[in-house]
Amino acid sequence: MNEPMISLHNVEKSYPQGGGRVFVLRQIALDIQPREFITIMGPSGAGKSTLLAILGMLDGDWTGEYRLLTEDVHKLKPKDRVALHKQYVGFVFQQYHLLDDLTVAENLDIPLSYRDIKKSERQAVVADTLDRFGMVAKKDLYPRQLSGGQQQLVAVARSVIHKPRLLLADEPTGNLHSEQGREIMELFKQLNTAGTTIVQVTHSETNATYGNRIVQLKDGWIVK
Amino acid sequence: MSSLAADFRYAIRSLAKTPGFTVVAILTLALGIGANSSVFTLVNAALFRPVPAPHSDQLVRLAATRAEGPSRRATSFRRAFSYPEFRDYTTQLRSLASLAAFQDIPLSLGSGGEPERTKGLITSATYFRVLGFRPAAGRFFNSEDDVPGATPVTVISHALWQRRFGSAPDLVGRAITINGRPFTVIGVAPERFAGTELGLAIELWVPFASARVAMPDGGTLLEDRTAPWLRAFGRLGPGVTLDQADAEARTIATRLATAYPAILEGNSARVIPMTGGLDPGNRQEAGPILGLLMAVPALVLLIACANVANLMLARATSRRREVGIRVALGATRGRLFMQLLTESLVLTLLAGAIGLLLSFWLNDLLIAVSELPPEVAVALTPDIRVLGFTAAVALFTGVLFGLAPALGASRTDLVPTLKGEGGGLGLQVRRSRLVSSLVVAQVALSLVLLVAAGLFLRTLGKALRVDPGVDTSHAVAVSFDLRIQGYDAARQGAFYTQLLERVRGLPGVTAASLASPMPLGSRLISSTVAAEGPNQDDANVQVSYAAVWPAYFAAVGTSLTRGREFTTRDVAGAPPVVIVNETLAHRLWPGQDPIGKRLRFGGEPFLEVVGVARDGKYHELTERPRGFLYVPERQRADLSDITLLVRTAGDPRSLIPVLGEAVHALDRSLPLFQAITLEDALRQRLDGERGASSVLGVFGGLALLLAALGLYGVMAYAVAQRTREVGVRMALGAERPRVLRQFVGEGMRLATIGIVIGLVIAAALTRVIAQFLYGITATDVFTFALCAAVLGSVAALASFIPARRAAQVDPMVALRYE
Repeated sequence: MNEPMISLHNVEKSYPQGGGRVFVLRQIALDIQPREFITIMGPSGAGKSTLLAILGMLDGDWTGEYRLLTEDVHKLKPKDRVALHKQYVGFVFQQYHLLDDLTVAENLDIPLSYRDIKKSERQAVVADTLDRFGMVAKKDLYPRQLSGGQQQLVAVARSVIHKPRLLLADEPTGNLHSEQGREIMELFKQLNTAGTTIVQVTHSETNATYGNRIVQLKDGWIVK
Repeated sequence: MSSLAADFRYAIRSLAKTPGFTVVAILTLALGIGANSSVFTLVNAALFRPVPAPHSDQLVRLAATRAEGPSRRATSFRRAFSYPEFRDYTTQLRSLASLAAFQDIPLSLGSGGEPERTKGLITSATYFRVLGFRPAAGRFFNSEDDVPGATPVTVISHALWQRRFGSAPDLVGRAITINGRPFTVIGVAPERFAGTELGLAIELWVPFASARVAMPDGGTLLEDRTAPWLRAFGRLGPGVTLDQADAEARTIATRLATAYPAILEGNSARVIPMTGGLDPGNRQEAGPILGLLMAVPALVLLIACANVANLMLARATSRRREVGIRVALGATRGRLFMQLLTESLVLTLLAGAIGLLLSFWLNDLLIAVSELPPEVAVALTPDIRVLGFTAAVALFTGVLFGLAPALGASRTDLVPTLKGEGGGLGLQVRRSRLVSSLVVAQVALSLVLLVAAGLFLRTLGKALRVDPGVDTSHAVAVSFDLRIQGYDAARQGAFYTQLLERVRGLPGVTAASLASPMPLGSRLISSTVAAEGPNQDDANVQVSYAAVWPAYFAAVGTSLTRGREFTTRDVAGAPPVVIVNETLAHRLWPGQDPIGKRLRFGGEPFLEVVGVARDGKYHELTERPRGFLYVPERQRADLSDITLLVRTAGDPRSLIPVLGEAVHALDRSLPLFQAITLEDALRQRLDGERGASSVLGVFGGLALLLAALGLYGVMAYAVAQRTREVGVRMALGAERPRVLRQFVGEGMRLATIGIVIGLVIAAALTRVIAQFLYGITATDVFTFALCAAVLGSVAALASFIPARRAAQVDPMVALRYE
């Protein structure tokens, strides 16, 4: 087997409470190969979103070893983790988290503008993405003018516009009805087929079937 | 650059979405920026504004200086050149391409209407040439106009040409009457030019050659090396630097001091940049006052910044989700920081523009409130420096109040924020402390300003209750100057006698006399005297004095405690006499009867004390007791600016035109000035205190308002944030008065801390203004306590209003609140 894209070894997260510590994640060991489509499942409070945040380097307060591609994330300074995140990771949130005062096109432009890409190049990429996701007609609309499904579509487009190698999705269909959710999951499948490694957190068994491996978490431990 | 443009666009959109916040923030900042801009306009006019002349950067002042201080290390610019000294620099100072000298003098204008006393300037023929002006009509002086015996000529101001002569095109070449003599008008000065210094509204220029007719002592002044009276300026020569010219001037000064040690020892000269503001001597004195003046609106601006910073912090709290998203999308802290700071700068640029407009209005208000005398032609029009200052203040303000919120927001705890939680407990605690600190700072700074305003108000109150030593009711003063009209001593004497006869015969007049200078006037003559005795050559006492006519004390209502008034027997040739005030009597002859004692000015004959006058105030109402003496006018020669003092049983104001007619019945061409009741004269002496109180009162009130708004805003926001908490507490049994007490208590806790800190800062800082106070100390307990009480009351109200809203919350509504 090839070298895994992501390798977690003995990753733990806890916070102090009373005289001791409360653990959110315990001794997490996980390898993810390139182009895998992983589903993380488990009851509420199992640590699923926390694990996703650690994978996406949005949470830096943990112990253990985390290797992404050739980088030992656990040895990097926060500034370098941010750079790594920018280079390889896209994130889709349950609440979409679009910026309300920006249009659809401007929301798509934001991640590119944070990656020092020239304006002319950004405009071309945004136009291409709008076209690819069928949103050209909506480019000047604000998020409040879109349906939930459309907003999540924009959020997905925004998360992949910079061609990340790793896409992390936290309950991406949690706020959508089933048809909209299905459309989003089909889109994820296409992205995975095209080469993007995807890790999703979901309660939905249906959504889990889109992936090729399920990781079960319970009380912070990987149980399967 | 494109990210800056994007941030700018986004900032505009974001601010437009919250119009309430945006308007409040902009107006708050505009008030602070406008106040600073307004005061800086005055400071600019006094210190920085260039001379309104072509290539003004090449104009320099040749300033006469002298060494002062205990070891004579300090340099005072309060010296003038004598005419011969000026001529020495003209011939020896090579680094200046041209040099000019001038002095402002009163001139009596007798043409074009009623006789009028105007501000004139006697100058070298080079004056206008050095400035580089072109005349609006005719020509300026040339060397032929400035030789002994030349026909008296004059250049008039454009304003005078319009006002008195209706812009008559044929005025150039005509003669007008100045000081009773004909002067040929040779030219008109450029429009809006009224001299090179702030406050001088010059209407007539005459050359030095006409000194004999333009000035009472003009005949000797041009030859007298011991009479310093001139100011000088020039243009740097081609390629010459300021330092080079300065070094040469000092070298020449040393040479002159060696040649004339009795006159010029310890004196020197400097070449310094020339501005259109105050002359170097006045600038030296005014510097600390102007510095204080700038500090006041700066404090107001700091309070405004703290206010808006709190608003921005509250706004940042509601935008933490957006910040979290941006970070998750790859924004660095620096990038976020710049975006939030850009928003602050957009606010301040808008506030700066409005503030500049406000400063125009504030300037008019400040002038009206501070009651500047009308003849002080203050050029309070903003120039590029004021615009630049305003922009700099706006930018600095934006950084100052935007820094804390931007820094705080860029440190958002990401994961809880994205989950929709409160941003983390640690973050909430940090923000709460920052908000509280800003409120405390606002309250503290407001108290400092209030205390300063309170101290000046109390000073004004004390000064208003001072006994001036004269009875200002039912008394009038009218001034004139016979010397510049060309009257010799004999004609003057005859005029005064006839005038007093006429005036004493007027209905209602109970007493009339003459004096120079007038009591409570702007002029004070000082000298030193020594009492007759064994140490008379060493014991010189500083005194001020006035020459007065018989019946003076009856006219001004000052009582004599011992001895007698002057009479018509106290004339030249009779035994010289003097009347001293109580302070001088005690200083010269403590515990003794001063009647019959003798004193003298310098090497002059001894004067016998014939009376002791009650102490009074002679120049400033807030002055310390000073030694003062009165001499009979017949025993002093050549007095200028005589004041007719008349006491009446009727309305003094209605007497003024009657007195004017009495004077003009004797000489139609004699201009009168300072025609005023003694009550108004007394009031004018308090212009400074009244002005300071008013200005500080305005700013103090503004600071109080801003601090109250700041406290109110914080408490209102806290109530809004904690509505659910309040609902839960009330559902669990908390009663409304308890809720009210809780929130008022929180607000008052902050205010109390701010007041205590403010009291400590005020106690330290008010020492700086101690020299301007009267009758109270800089740490006057009553003032401090009163201001603290006022601020505390306002803070209580600012806390009570939102607290009442909290106490009126319906628990069931609050529990559904999101």
